[in-house]
Amino acid sequence: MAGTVIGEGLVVEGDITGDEEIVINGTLRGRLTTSDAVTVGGTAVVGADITGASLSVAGQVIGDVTASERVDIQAGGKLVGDIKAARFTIADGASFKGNVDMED
Amino acid sequence: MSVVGAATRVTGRISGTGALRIEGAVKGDVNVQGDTELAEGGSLEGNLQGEGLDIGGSLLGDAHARGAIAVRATASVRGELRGSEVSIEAGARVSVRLDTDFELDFGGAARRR
Repeated sequence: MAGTVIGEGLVVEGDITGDEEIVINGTLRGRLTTSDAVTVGGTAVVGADITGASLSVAGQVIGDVTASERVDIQAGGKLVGDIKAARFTIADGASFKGNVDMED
Repeated sequence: MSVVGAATRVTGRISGTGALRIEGAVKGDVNVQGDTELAEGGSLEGNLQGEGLDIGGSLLGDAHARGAIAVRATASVRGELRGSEVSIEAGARVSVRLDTDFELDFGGAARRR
């Protein structure tokens, strides 16, 4: 089970920092920083810059993303912002607007 | 169900619906339509509002429950506790103002006299 879960219906306005997996199914406005994986579920609405080991997006994200490993936008996922990550995938049915930097 | 994990820190406001468990550190007000647990080892610096409140960690701020508040033996609380009922276990460190909503039944005693 993930360390931190922001459930559907919950709203966080501010900064979340952690050293564990973070799952967002609710709403986040602010900033998100962790050394572990970040999952943005299908019901999530995130307006935040995200820093993590990896990011999986099935919901909506507006913000810049820095991932030490990878970023995956799932089908139905939406990401608007600049991405800095070594690996990056966009699934069929996902949408993305922004710049990608895959340099180390 | 939402969880602020033990290795997570939140600075800001938490609101909305659903149950919430805080195992990590929160600095800011928490106001949820749901039961909220401040677990042992968790800390909250801010006001806490929820349905039923279960406090086992440290709280610096006021706790207002629409239901009951349970302060566990592991808790330390400084602030105000307001709920339909408030229970405090032995061993809890509390420095609080207590405000529970109930009526003392002096009517029956007065009639018996």
